[in-house]
Amino acid sequence: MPSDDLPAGLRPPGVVILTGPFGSGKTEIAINLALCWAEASPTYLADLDVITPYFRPRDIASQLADRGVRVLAPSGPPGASDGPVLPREMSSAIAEADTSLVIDVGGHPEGAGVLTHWREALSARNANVLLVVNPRRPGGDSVEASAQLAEAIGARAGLPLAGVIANGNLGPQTTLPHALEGLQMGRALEARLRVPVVAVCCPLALRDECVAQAPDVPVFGLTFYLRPPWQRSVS
Amino acid sequence: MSAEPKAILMKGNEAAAEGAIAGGCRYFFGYPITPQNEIPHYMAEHMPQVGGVYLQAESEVAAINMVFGAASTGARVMTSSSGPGIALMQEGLSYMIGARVPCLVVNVCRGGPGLGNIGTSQSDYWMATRGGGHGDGRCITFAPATVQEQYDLCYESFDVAERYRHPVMILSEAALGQMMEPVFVRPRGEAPKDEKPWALGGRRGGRNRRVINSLYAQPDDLARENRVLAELYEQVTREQVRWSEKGDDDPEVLIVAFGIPARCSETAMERAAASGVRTRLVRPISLFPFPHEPIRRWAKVAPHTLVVEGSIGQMVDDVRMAVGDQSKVSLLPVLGGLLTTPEEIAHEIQRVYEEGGRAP
Repeated sequence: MPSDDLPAGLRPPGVVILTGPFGSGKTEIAINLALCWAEASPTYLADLDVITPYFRPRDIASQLADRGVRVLAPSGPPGASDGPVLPREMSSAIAEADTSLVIDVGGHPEGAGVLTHWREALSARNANVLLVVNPRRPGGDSVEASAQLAEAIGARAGLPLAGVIANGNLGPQTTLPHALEGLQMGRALEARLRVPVVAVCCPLALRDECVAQAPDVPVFGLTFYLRPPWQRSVS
Repeated sequence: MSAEPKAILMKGNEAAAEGAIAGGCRYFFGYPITPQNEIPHYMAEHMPQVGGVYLQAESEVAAINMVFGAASTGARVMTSSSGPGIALMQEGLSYMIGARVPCLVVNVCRGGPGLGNIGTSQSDYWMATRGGGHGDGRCITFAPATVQEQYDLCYESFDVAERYRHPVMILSEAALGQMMEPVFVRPRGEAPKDEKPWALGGRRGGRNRRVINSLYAQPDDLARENRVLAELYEQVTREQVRWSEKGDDDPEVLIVAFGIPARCSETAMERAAASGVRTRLVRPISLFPFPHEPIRRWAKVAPHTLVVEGSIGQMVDDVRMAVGDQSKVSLLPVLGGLLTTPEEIAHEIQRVYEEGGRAP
Protein backbone atom coordinates (compact mmCIF):
# COMPACT_ATOMS: atom_id res chain seq x y z
CA MET A 1 0.00 0.00 0.00
CA PRO A 2 1.23 3.60 -0.60
CA SER A 3 2.78 5.11 2.52
CA ASP A 4 0.24 8.00 2.45
CA ASP A 5 -2.46 5.47 3.29
CA LEU A 6 -0.61 4.26 6.35
CA PRO A 7 -1.94 4.89 9.84
CA ALA A 8 -0.60 8.15 11.30
CA GLY A 9 1.80 6.49 13.72
CA LEU A 10 3.33 4.44 10.92
CA ARG A 11 4.25 7.11 8.33
CA PRO A 12 7.81 7.73 7.18
CA PRO A 13 10.39 9.01 7.74
CA GLY A 14 10.83 7.80 11.26
CA VAL A 15 11.87 4.93 13.45
CA VAL A 16 9.45 2.19 14.42
CA ILE A 17 10.40 -0.66 16.74
CA LEU A 18 8.21 -3.75 16.66
CA THR A 19 8.12 -5.70 19.90
CA GLY A 20 5.84 -8.32 21.33
CA PRO A 21 5.53 -11.91 22.42
CA PHE A 22 7.11 -14.72 20.41
CA GLY A 23 5.29 -15.41 17.20
CA SER A 24 2.95 -12.41 17.38
CA GLY A 25 3.78 -11.45 13.79
CA LYS A 26 6.39 -8.71 14.27
CA THR A 27 8.56 -9.76 11.37
CA GLU A 28 5.90 -9.91 8.65
CA ILE A 29 4.59 -6.51 9.80
CA ALA A 30 8.13 -5.12 9.80
CA ILE A 31 8.72 -6.33 6.24
CA ASN A 32 5.40 -4.92 5.03
CA LEU A 33 6.04 -1.59 6.72
CA ALA A 34 9.57 -1.30 5.37
CA LEU A 35 8.37 -2.03 1.84
CA CYS A 36 5.72 0.72 2.16
CA TRP A 37 8.25 3.19 3.46
CA ALA A 38 10.78 2.37 0.78
CA GLU A 39 8.39 3.84 -1.78
CA ALA A 40 8.70 7.25 -0.05
CA SER A 41 12.19 7.39 1.44
CA PRO A 42 15.38 5.39 1.87
CA THR A 43 14.56 2.63 4.34
CA TYR A 44 16.49 0.27 6.53
CA LEU A 45 15.02 -2.86 8.07
CA ALA A 46 17.05 -3.90 11.09
CA ASP A 47 16.83 -7.60 11.84
CA LEU A 48 17.81 -7.79 15.51
CA ASP A 49 16.23 -11.14 16.31
CA VAL A 50 18.83 -12.91 18.43
CA ILE A 51 16.26 -15.26 19.95
CA THR A 52 14.93 -17.41 17.13
CA PRO A 53 17.21 -17.86 14.14
CA TYR A 54 14.50 -18.80 11.64
CA PHE A 55 12.02 -16.94 9.45
CA ARG A 56 13.99 -13.68 9.71
CA PRO A 57 14.16 -10.72 7.27
CA ARG A 58 17.77 -11.62 6.44
CA ASP A 59 16.45 -14.78 4.76
CA ILE A 60 14.93 -12.61 2.01
CA ALA A 61 17.41 -9.70 2.11
CA SER A 62 18.14 -9.74 -1.61
CA GLN A 63 14.44 -9.78 -2.49
CA LEU A 64 13.93 -6.78 -0.19
CA ALA A 65 16.99 -4.97 -1.58
CA ASP A 66 15.45 -5.19 -5.05
CA ARG A 67 12.52 -3.22 -3.68
CA GLY A 68 14.57 -0.55 -1.95
CA VAL A 69 14.80 -1.95 1.56
CA ARG A 70 18.25 -2.47 2.96
CA VAL A 71 18.30 -5.21 5.59
CA LEU A 72 20.70 -4.63 8.46
CA ALA A 73 21.77 -8.01 9.82
CA PRO A 74 25.02 -9.73 10.71
CA SER A 75 26.60 -10.91 7.47
CA GLY A 76 28.60 -14.03 6.69
CA PRO A 77 28.54 -17.13 8.86
CA PRO A 78 27.42 -15.30 12.05
CA GLY A 79 24.27 -14.22 10.21
CA ALA A 80 23.24 -17.84 9.76
CA SER A 81 23.95 -18.76 13.37
CA ASP A 82 21.99 -18.57 16.58
CA GLY A 83 24.59 -16.43 18.33
CA PRO A 84 23.81 -13.05 19.92
CA VAL A 85 25.35 -11.09 17.04
CA LEU A 86 24.16 -7.59 16.10
CA PRO A 87 24.74 -5.66 12.85
CA ARG A 88 27.52 -3.09 13.19
CA GLU A 89 25.74 -0.50 10.98
CA MET A 90 22.98 0.10 13.54
CA SER A 91 24.42 3.24 15.17
CA SER A 92 25.01 5.02 11.87
CA ALA A 93 21.59 3.97 10.55
CA ILE A 94 19.85 5.41 13.63
CA ALA A 95 21.82 8.65 13.16
CA GLU A 96 20.59 9.19 9.57
CA ALA A 97 17.69 11.53 10.32
CA ASP A 98 16.27 11.59 6.79
CA THR A 99 16.19 7.81 6.53
CA SER A 100 13.46 5.52 7.79
CA LEU A 101 14.24 2.62 10.01
CA VAL A 102 12.05 -0.34 10.95
CA ILE A 103 13.47 -2.42 13.77
CA ASP A 104 12.37 -6.03 14.20
CA VAL A 105 13.50 -7.48 17.52
CA GLY A 106 13.10 -10.96 18.93
CA GLY A 107 10.12 -11.93 21.03
CA HIS A 108 9.41 -11.35 24.70
CA PRO A 109 11.53 -9.10 26.97
CA GLU A 110 14.53 -11.28 26.12
CA GLY A 111 14.33 -10.20 22.48
CA ALA A 112 13.76 -6.54 23.34
CA GLY A 113 16.87 -6.44 25.52
CA VAL A 114 19.13 -5.70 22.54
CA LEU A 115 17.56 -2.22 22.25
CA THR A 116 19.40 -0.97 25.33
CA HIS A 117 22.57 -0.73 23.19
CA TRP A 118 21.08 2.24 21.32
CA ARG A 119 18.55 3.54 23.83
CA GLU A 120 19.70 7.18 23.85
CA ALA A 121 20.03 7.43 20.09
CA LEU A 122 16.62 5.83 19.61
CA SER A 123 15.05 8.24 22.14
CA ALA A 124 16.67 11.16 20.33
CA ARG A 125 14.91 10.08 17.12
CA ASN A 126 11.56 9.68 18.90
CA ALA A 127 11.43 6.02 18.03
CA ASN A 128 7.93 4.60 18.19
CA VAL A 129 7.92 1.40 20.21
CA LEU A 130 4.90 -0.67 19.20
CA LEU A 131 3.59 -3.87 20.71
CA VAL A 132 2.27 -6.53 18.31
CA VAL A 133 -0.38 -8.81 19.81
CA ASN A 134 -2.18 -11.91 18.57
CA PRO A 135 -4.77 -13.44 20.93
CA ARG A 136 -4.65 -16.71 18.98
CA ARG A 137 -1.16 -17.48 20.28
CA PRO A 138 -0.79 -19.72 23.36
CA GLY A 139 -1.62 -17.52 26.35
CA GLY A 140 -2.25 -14.56 24.03
CA ASP A 141 -5.92 -14.30 24.98
CA SER A 142 -5.19 -13.09 28.51
CA VAL A 143 -5.31 -9.27 28.75
CA GLU A 144 -3.51 -9.23 32.07
CA ALA A 145 -0.71 -11.56 30.95
CA SER A 146 -0.28 -9.56 27.73
CA ALA A 147 -0.20 -6.28 29.64
CA GLN A 148 2.42 -7.59 32.06
CA LEU A 149 4.51 -8.85 29.16
CA ALA A 150 4.22 -5.44 27.47
CA GLU A 151 5.42 -3.71 30.62
CA ALA A 152 8.31 -6.14 30.94
CA ILE A 153 9.26 -5.53 27.31
CA GLY A 154 9.22 -1.74 27.80
CA ALA A 155 11.29 -2.04 30.96
CA ARG A 156 13.83 -4.32 29.33
CA ALA A 157 14.16 -2.08 26.27
CA GLY A 158 14.37 1.03 28.41
CA LEU A 159 11.94 2.76 26.04
CA PRO A 160 8.29 3.63 26.63
CA LEU A 161 5.60 1.79 24.69
CA ALA A 162 3.85 4.12 22.20
CA GLY A 163 1.09 1.94 20.79
CA VAL A 164 -0.40 -1.43 20.05
CA ILE A 165 -0.73 -3.20 16.69
CA ALA A 166 -3.59 -5.70 16.74
CA ASN A 167 -2.52 -8.69 14.69
CA GLY A 168 -5.08 -11.38 15.39
CA ASN A 169 -4.33 -14.22 13.01
CA LEU A 170 -4.21 -17.96 12.44
CA GLY A 171 -1.37 -17.86 9.94
CA PRO A 172 -2.41 -19.19 6.54
CA GLN A 173 -5.99 -19.76 7.77
CA THR A 174 -6.66 -16.21 8.96
CA THR A 175 -10.20 -14.93 8.48
CA LEU A 176 -11.82 -11.59 9.26
CA PRO A 177 -13.11 -12.72 12.69
CA HIS A 178 -9.52 -13.48 13.73
CA ALA A 179 -8.45 -9.96 12.81
CA LEU A 180 -11.39 -8.51 14.75
CA GLU A 181 -10.55 -10.71 17.75
CA GLY A 182 -7.13 -9.10 17.59
CA LEU A 183 -8.70 -5.66 17.62
CA GLN A 184 -10.74 -6.58 20.68
CA MET A 185 -7.54 -7.54 22.48
CA GLY A 186 -5.90 -4.34 21.23
CA ARG A 187 -8.75 -2.28 22.70
CA ALA A 188 -8.48 -4.07 26.04
CA LEU A 189 -4.76 -3.34 26.15
CA GLU A 190 -5.39 0.26 25.10
CA ALA A 191 -7.50 0.68 28.22
CA ARG A 192 -5.10 -1.20 30.46
CA LEU A 193 -1.80 0.27 29.18
CA ARG A 194 -3.11 3.71 28.18
CA VAL A 195 -1.53 3.66 24.73
CA PRO A 196 -3.55 3.72 21.49
CA VAL A 197 -4.21 0.94 19.00
CA VAL A 198 -2.32 2.37 16.01
CA ALA A 199 -3.48 -0.26 13.51
CA VAL A 200 -5.30 -3.53 13.05
CA CYS A 201 -3.68 -5.98 10.64
CA CYS A 202 -5.29 -8.48 8.29
CA PRO A 203 -4.31 -10.28 5.09
CA LEU A 204 -4.35 -7.79 2.20
CA ALA A 205 -7.24 -9.62 0.55
CA LEU A 206 -9.45 -8.95 3.59
CA ARG A 207 -8.57 -5.27 3.90
CA ASP A 208 -11.77 -3.77 2.49
CA GLU A 209 -13.97 -6.02 4.61
CA CYS A 210 -11.90 -5.18 7.66
CA VAL A 211 -12.19 -1.44 7.00
CA ALA A 212 -15.96 -1.86 6.81
CA GLN A 213 -16.06 -3.80 10.09
CA ALA A 214 -13.58 -1.61 11.97
CA PRO A 215 -14.16 1.92 10.66
CA ASP A 216 -12.67 3.66 13.70
CA VAL A 217 -9.15 2.22 13.45
CA PRO A 218 -6.54 2.22 10.67
CA VAL A 219 -6.31 -1.10 8.84
CA PHE A 220 -2.95 -2.41 7.62
CA GLY A 221 -3.29 -5.07 4.91
CA LEU A 222 -0.42 -7.56 4.94
CA THR A 223 1.32 -9.58 2.27
CA PHE A 224 3.26 -12.57 3.62
CA TYR A 225 6.91 -13.01 2.71
CA LEU A 226 8.20 -15.71 5.03
CA ARG A 227 5.72 -18.49 4.41
CA PRO A 228 7.07 -21.96 3.61
CA PRO A 229 7.56 -22.69 -0.09
CA TRP A 230 4.47 -24.83 -0.61
CA GLN A 231 2.27 -22.06 0.74
CA ARG A 232 4.08 -19.45 -1.31
CA SER A 233 3.46 -21.29 -4.53
CA VAL A 234 -0.22 -22.00 -3.93
CA SER A 235 -1.22 -18.55 -2.68
CA MET B 1 -21.36 -28.55 27.79
CA SER B 2 -18.24 -28.48 25.69
CA ALA B 3 -16.88 -25.29 24.18
CA GLU B 4 -16.50 -25.26 20.44
CA PRO B 5 -12.95 -26.38 19.64
CA LYS B 6 -10.81 -23.32 19.03
CA ALA B 7 -7.65 -23.35 16.96
CA ILE B 8 -4.59 -21.53 18.22
CA LEU B 9 -1.49 -20.58 16.27
CA MET B 10 1.46 -22.63 17.46
CA LYS B 11 5.04 -23.25 16.52
CA GLY B 12 5.82 -26.89 15.90
CA ASN B 13 8.01 -26.97 18.99
CA GLU B 14 5.29 -25.50 21.18
CA ALA B 15 2.84 -28.03 19.77
CA ALA B 16 5.19 -30.90 20.65
CA ALA B 17 5.40 -29.68 24.24
CA GLU B 18 1.67 -29.01 24.62
CA GLY B 19 0.79 -32.32 22.98
CA ALA B 20 3.00 -34.16 25.45
CA ILE B 21 1.47 -32.33 28.43
CA ALA B 22 -2.04 -33.08 27.15
CA GLY B 23 -0.97 -36.72 26.79
CA GLY B 24 -0.13 -36.87 30.48
CA CYS B 25 3.58 -36.03 30.45
CA ARG B 26 4.54 -34.57 33.82
CA TYR B 27 8.33 -34.73 33.76
CA PHE B 28 10.67 -33.01 31.33
CA PHE B 29 14.45 -33.16 31.50
CA GLY B 30 16.55 -31.53 28.81
CA TYR B 31 19.41 -29.36 27.75
CA PRO B 32 19.29 -26.42 25.29
CA ILE B 33 20.14 -26.74 21.62
CA THR B 34 18.82 -24.95 18.55
CA PRO B 35 16.37 -25.61 16.84
CA GLN B 36 14.31 -27.19 19.64
CA ASN B 37 14.65 -24.58 22.39
CA GLU B 38 10.98 -23.64 22.36
CA ILE B 39 10.20 -27.09 23.77
CA PRO B 40 12.11 -26.65 27.05
CA HIS B 41 11.06 -22.98 27.10
CA TYR B 42 7.41 -24.00 26.90
CA MET B 43 7.87 -26.80 29.42
CA ALA B 44 9.59 -24.48 31.90
CA GLU B 45 6.55 -22.22 31.80
CA HIS B 46 3.79 -24.83 31.62
CA MET B 47 4.95 -27.86 33.65
CA PRO B 48 4.42 -26.01 36.96
CA GLN B 49 0.84 -25.24 35.86
CA VAL B 50 0.01 -28.96 35.81
CA GLY B 51 2.01 -29.90 38.89
CA GLY B 52 4.77 -31.37 36.76
CA VAL B 53 8.54 -31.11 36.91
CA TYR B 54 10.78 -29.24 34.48
CA LEU B 55 14.49 -29.51 35.01
CA GLN B 56 17.36 -28.28 32.86
CA ALA B 57 20.04 -30.89 33.25
CA GLU B 58 23.78 -30.21 33.11
CA SER B 59 24.10 -32.11 29.83
CA GLU B 60 22.17 -34.33 27.46
CA VAL B 61 23.78 -37.37 29.06
CA ALA B 62 22.40 -36.31 32.42
CA ALA B 63 19.00 -35.49 30.91
CA ILE B 64 18.47 -38.91 29.32
CA ASN B 65 19.49 -40.63 32.56
CA MET B 66 17.00 -38.50 34.48
CA VAL B 67 14.42 -39.65 31.95
CA PHE B 68 15.52 -43.25 32.59
CA GLY B 69 15.08 -42.76 36.33
CA ALA B 70 11.63 -41.19 36.10
CA ALA B 71 10.50 -43.72 33.47
CA SER B 72 11.52 -46.57 35.77
CA THR B 73 8.86 -45.43 38.22
CA GLY B 74 6.20 -45.56 35.52
CA ALA B 75 5.93 -41.77 35.15
CA ARG B 76 5.19 -40.18 31.78
CA VAL B 77 8.47 -38.45 30.98
CA MET B 78 10.16 -36.95 27.97
CA THR B 79 13.18 -35.14 26.70
CA SER B 80 13.90 -33.24 23.52
CA SER B 81 17.02 -32.23 21.67
CA SER B 82 18.51 -32.02 18.20
CA GLY B 83 21.01 -34.28 16.41
CA PRO B 84 24.18 -33.57 18.42
CA GLY B 85 22.28 -33.85 21.71
CA ILE B 86 20.35 -36.92 20.61
CA ALA B 87 23.71 -38.50 19.74
CA LEU B 88 24.82 -37.95 23.33
CA MET B 89 21.63 -39.63 24.53
CA GLN B 90 22.16 -42.86 22.58
CA GLU B 91 23.68 -44.77 25.47
CA GLY B 92 20.78 -43.89 27.76
CA LEU B 93 18.28 -44.81 25.07
CA SER B 94 19.91 -48.20 24.63
CA TYR B 95 19.74 -48.80 28.39
CA MET B 96 16.04 -47.91 28.38
CA ILE B 97 15.39 -50.27 25.49
CA GLY B 98 17.33 -52.99 27.28
CA ALA B 99 15.51 -52.30 30.55
CA ARG B 100 12.15 -52.04 28.78
CA VAL B 101 10.97 -48.65 30.04
CA PRO B 102 8.76 -46.25 28.06
CA CYS B 103 9.52 -42.60 27.34
CA LEU B 104 9.23 -39.97 24.63
CA VAL B 105 12.25 -38.42 22.90
CA VAL B 106 11.70 -35.60 20.42
CA ASN B 107 14.48 -34.91 17.92
CA VAL B 108 14.08 -31.63 16.05
CA CYS B 109 16.62 -32.45 13.40
CA ARG B 110 19.32 -30.04 12.19
CA GLY B 111 22.07 -30.61 9.65
CA GLY B 112 25.11 -32.76 10.40
CA PRO B 113 27.44 -34.55 10.84
CA GLY B 114 29.21 -32.77 13.67
CA LEU B 115 27.94 -29.31 14.47
CA GLY B 116 26.68 -29.10 10.88
CA ASN B 117 24.36 -26.14 10.91
CA ILE B 118 21.03 -25.14 12.41
CA GLY B 119 19.13 -25.41 9.16
CA THR B 120 16.39 -27.95 8.61
CA SER B 121 17.33 -31.57 7.92
CA GLN B 122 16.20 -35.19 8.05
CA SER B 123 19.68 -36.61 8.28
CA ASP B 124 19.09 -38.30 11.64
CA TYR B 125 16.92 -40.90 9.89
CA TRP B 126 19.50 -43.64 10.32
CA MET B 127 20.30 -42.66 13.92
CA ALA B 128 16.59 -42.79 14.75
CA THR B 129 15.50 -45.90 12.87
CA ARG B 130 18.66 -48.01 13.32
CA GLY B 131 19.55 -46.47 16.62
CA GLY B 132 18.24 -46.23 20.03
CA GLY B 133 21.96 -46.60 20.71
CA HIS B 134 24.03 -49.76 20.66
CA GLY B 135 22.99 -53.37 20.72
CA ASP B 136 20.13 -55.35 19.28
CA GLY B 137 17.46 -52.68 19.67
CA ARG B 138 15.51 -50.32 17.47
CA CYS B 139 13.60 -47.17 18.18
CA ILE B 140 9.89 -46.81 17.41
CA THR B 141 9.99 -43.62 15.32
CA PHE B 142 7.24 -41.35 14.07
CA ALA B 143 7.70 -38.38 11.72
CA PRO B 144 5.08 -35.61 11.62
CA ALA B 145 4.54 -33.36 8.60
CA THR B 146 2.31 -30.67 10.10
CA VAL B 147 2.24 -28.78 13.37
CA GLN B 148 -1.09 -30.47 14.20
CA GLU B 149 0.42 -33.89 13.53
CA GLN B 150 3.40 -33.01 15.73
CA TYR B 151 0.94 -32.22 18.51
CA ASP B 152 -1.09 -35.38 17.91
CA LEU B 153 1.89 -37.74 17.75
CA CYS B 154 3.41 -36.34 20.93
CA TYR B 155 0.01 -36.66 22.60
CA GLU B 156 -0.33 -40.29 21.56
CA SER B 157 3.27 -41.40 22.02
CA PHE B 158 2.98 -42.15 25.72
CA ASP B 159 0.21 -44.68 25.07
CA VAL B 160 2.36 -46.31 22.38
CA ALA B 161 5.49 -46.27 24.55
CA GLU B 162 3.66 -47.82 27.50
CA ARG B 163 1.92 -50.42 25.36
CA TYR B 164 5.30 -51.82 24.31
CA ARG B 165 7.35 -50.67 27.32
CA HIS B 166 9.72 -49.06 24.89
CA PRO B 167 11.01 -45.55 24.06
CA VAL B 168 9.29 -43.69 21.23
CA MET B 169 11.09 -41.10 19.16
CA ILE B 170 9.48 -38.27 17.22
CA LEU B 171 11.79 -37.36 14.33
CA SER B 172 10.86 -33.78 13.58
CA GLU B 173 12.91 -31.22 11.68
CA ALA B 174 13.96 -27.60 12.22
CA ALA B 175 11.49 -26.16 9.72
CA LEU B 176 8.58 -27.98 11.34
CA GLY B 177 9.68 -27.04 14.84
CA GLN B 178 9.92 -23.38 13.89
CA MET B 179 6.97 -22.87 11.58
CA MET B 180 3.56 -21.83 12.86
CA GLU B 181 0.20 -23.36 11.95
CA PRO B 182 -3.22 -23.56 13.56
CA VAL B 183 -3.61 -26.40 16.06
CA PHE B 184 -6.70 -27.76 17.75
CA VAL B 185 -5.62 -28.66 21.26
CA ARG B 186 -7.26 -31.12 23.63
CA PRO B 187 -7.86 -30.60 27.33
CA ARG B 188 -4.74 -31.48 29.29
CA GLY B 189 -5.18 -35.07 30.47
CA GLU B 190 -3.69 -37.13 33.24
CA ALA B 191 -1.83 -40.37 32.68
CA PRO B 192 -4.04 -43.46 33.12
CA LYS B 193 -3.95 -44.74 36.69
CA ASP B 194 -3.46 -48.40 35.70
CA GLU B 195 -0.97 -50.29 37.78
CA LYS B 196 2.26 -50.92 35.92
CA PRO B 197 3.46 -54.28 37.22
CA TRP B 198 7.05 -53.49 36.31
CA ALA B 199 7.34 -49.96 37.69
CA LEU B 200 9.46 -49.17 40.72
CA GLY B 201 7.71 -47.57 43.67
CA GLY B 202 9.07 -49.06 46.84
CA ARG B 203 8.03 -52.40 48.29
CA ARG B 204 4.98 -50.94 50.00
CA GLY B 205 4.99 -53.27 52.92
CA GLY B 206 6.07 -56.54 51.44
CA ARG B 207 5.34 -56.39 47.73
CA ASN B 208 7.77 -58.47 45.68
CA ARG B 209 10.96 -56.70 44.80
CA ARG B 210 11.04 -55.23 41.29
CA VAL B 211 14.20 -54.71 39.29
CA ILE B 212 14.77 -52.47 36.28
CA ASN B 213 17.96 -53.58 34.61
CA SER B 214 19.60 -54.06 31.23
CA LEU B 215 22.44 -56.33 32.36
CA TYR B 216 22.06 -59.96 31.25
CA ALA B 217 25.42 -61.46 32.09
CA GLN B 218 24.45 -65.07 31.33
CA PRO B 219 24.49 -65.90 27.59
CA ASP B 220 21.09 -67.59 27.72
CA ASP B 221 19.52 -64.64 29.48
CA LEU B 222 20.77 -62.11 26.94
CA ALA B 223 19.79 -64.32 24.01
CA ARG B 224 16.30 -64.67 25.50
CA GLU B 225 15.98 -60.91 25.92
CA ASN B 226 17.14 -60.36 22.32
CA ARG B 227 14.45 -62.76 21.11
CA VAL B 228 11.81 -61.09 23.24
CA LEU B 229 12.73 -57.73 21.70
CA ALA B 230 12.67 -59.20 18.19
CA GLU B 231 9.15 -60.53 18.83
CA LEU B 232 8.17 -57.14 20.22
CA TYR B 233 9.34 -55.44 17.02
CA GLU B 234 7.29 -57.91 14.98
CA GLN B 235 4.26 -56.96 17.04
CA VAL B 236 5.06 -53.24 16.68
CA THR B 237 5.33 -53.75 12.92
CA ARG B 238 1.91 -55.44 12.84
CA GLU B 239 0.28 -52.73 14.92
CA GLN B 240 2.05 -49.42 14.34
CA VAL B 241 2.89 -49.08 10.64
CA ARG B 242 1.50 -45.70 9.64
CA TRP B 243 1.52 -43.76 6.42
CA SER B 244 -0.66 -41.49 4.35
CA GLU B 245 -1.03 -41.57 0.57
CA LYS B 246 -2.67 -39.52 -2.13
CA GLY B 247 -2.63 -39.01 -5.87
CA ASP B 248 -3.40 -40.94 -9.04
CA ASP B 249 -4.50 -44.58 -8.98
CA ASP B 250 -2.32 -45.43 -11.99
CA PRO B 251 0.82 -43.42 -11.23
CA GLU B 252 3.77 -43.14 -13.57
CA VAL B 253 5.93 -41.75 -10.77
CA LEU B 254 5.68 -42.89 -7.15
CA ILE B 255 6.98 -40.29 -4.71
CA VAL B 256 8.12 -41.33 -1.24
CA ALA B 257 8.81 -38.52 1.21
CA PHE B 258 8.19 -37.83 4.88
CA GLY B 259 7.83 -34.63 6.89
CA ILE B 260 8.36 -31.28 5.20
CA PRO B 261 9.63 -32.68 1.85
CA ALA B 262 6.31 -34.57 1.61
CA ARG B 263 4.43 -31.28 1.91
CA CYS B 264 6.53 -29.71 -0.83
CA SER B 265 5.93 -32.86 -2.89
CA GLU B 266 2.15 -32.47 -2.61
CA THR B 267 2.34 -29.09 -4.30
CA ALA B 268 4.80 -30.45 -6.85
CA MET B 269 2.27 -33.18 -7.74
CA GLU B 270 -0.21 -30.52 -8.86
CA ARG B 271 2.42 -29.15 -11.21
CA ALA B 272 3.26 -32.60 -12.51
CA ALA B 273 -0.43 -33.22 -13.20
CA ALA B 274 -0.57 -29.96 -15.15
CA SER B 275 2.23 -31.25 -17.38
CA GLY B 276 0.51 -34.61 -17.79
CA VAL B 277 2.52 -36.83 -15.42
CA ARG B 278 0.49 -39.03 -13.07
CA THR B 279 1.95 -39.30 -9.59
CA ARG B 280 1.21 -40.84 -6.22
CA LEU B 281 2.73 -39.88 -2.88
CA VAL B 282 3.32 -42.34 -0.05
CA ARG B 283 4.29 -40.43 3.09
CA PRO B 284 5.69 -42.64 5.84
CA ILE B 285 4.51 -41.48 9.27
CA SER B 286 6.12 -44.36 11.12
CA LEU B 287 9.77 -44.60 10.04
CA PHE B 288 10.32 -47.66 12.19
CA PRO B 289 8.26 -49.73 11.57
CA PHE B 290 8.60 -48.69 7.95
CA PRO B 291 5.57 -48.88 5.61
CA HIS B 292 7.08 -51.33 3.12
CA GLU B 293 3.74 -52.71 1.95
CA PRO B 294 2.10 -49.62 0.38
CA ILE B 295 5.38 -48.65 -1.23
CA ARG B 296 5.79 -52.15 -2.69
CA ARG B 297 2.19 -52.11 -3.90
CA TRP B 298 2.49 -48.78 -5.76
CA ALA B 299 5.96 -49.59 -7.09
CA LYS B 300 4.35 -52.46 -9.00
CA VAL B 301 2.30 -49.86 -10.84
CA ALA B 302 4.75 -46.96 -11.21
CA PRO B 303 7.85 -47.51 -13.39
CA HIS B 304 9.63 -44.68 -11.51
CA THR B 305 10.02 -44.12 -7.79
CA LEU B 306 11.34 -40.76 -6.61
CA VAL B 307 12.54 -40.36 -3.02
CA VAL B 308 12.73 -36.79 -1.73
CA GLU B 309 14.48 -36.52 1.63
CA GLY B 310 16.50 -34.05 3.67
CA SER B 311 19.73 -36.05 3.62
CA ILE B 312 22.26 -37.39 1.13
CA GLY B 313 20.18 -40.58 0.99
CA GLN B 314 19.10 -42.54 4.07
CA MET B 315 15.41 -43.47 3.83
CA VAL B 316 16.09 -44.35 0.20
CA ASP B 317 17.67 -47.60 1.50
CA ASP B 318 14.37 -48.64 3.05
CA VAL B 319 12.51 -47.63 -0.10
CA ARG B 320 14.88 -49.73 -2.23
CA MET B 321 14.24 -52.67 0.07
CA ALA B 322 10.49 -52.25 -0.34
CA VAL B 323 10.62 -51.67 -4.10
CA GLY B 324 13.14 -54.33 -5.10
CA ASP B 325 13.53 -54.29 -8.88
CA GLN B 326 9.91 -53.44 -9.58
CA SER B 327 10.49 -49.73 -10.15
CA LYS B 328 13.53 -47.59 -10.87
CA VAL B 329 14.43 -45.66 -7.71
CA SER B 330 15.85 -42.12 -7.91
CA LEU B 331 16.79 -39.76 -5.11
CA LEU B 332 16.38 -36.01 -4.75
CA PRO B 333 18.52 -35.10 -1.73
CA VAL B 334 17.75 -31.82 0.03
CA LEU B 335 20.96 -30.57 1.63
CA GLY B 336 22.63 -27.70 3.42
CA GLY B 337 19.83 -26.94 5.85
CA LEU B 338 17.60 -25.55 3.14
CA LEU B 339 14.00 -26.29 2.26
CA THR B 340 13.30 -27.84 -1.07
CA THR B 341 10.69 -26.18 -3.28
CA PRO B 342 7.74 -27.57 -5.20
CA GLU B 343 9.44 -26.26 -8.36
CA GLU B 344 12.58 -28.29 -7.70
CA ILE B 345 10.58 -31.45 -7.03
CA ALA B 346 8.33 -30.92 -10.06
CA HIS B 347 11.44 -30.56 -12.20
CA GLU B 348 12.82 -33.81 -10.82
CA ILE B 349 9.52 -35.64 -11.40
CA GLN B 350 9.67 -34.54 -15.04
CA ARG B 351 13.33 -35.57 -15.31
CA VAL B 352 12.87 -39.12 -13.96
CA TYR B 353 9.73 -39.51 -16.04
CA GLU B 354 11.55 -38.60 -19.25
CA GLU B 355 14.65 -40.62 -18.34
CA GLY B 356 12.69 -43.86 -18.55
CA GLY B 357 11.74 -46.25 -15.80
CA ARG B 358 12.26 -49.94 -15.15
CA ALA B 359 12.60 -52.20 -18.13
CA PRO B 360 9.18 -53.62 -19.16
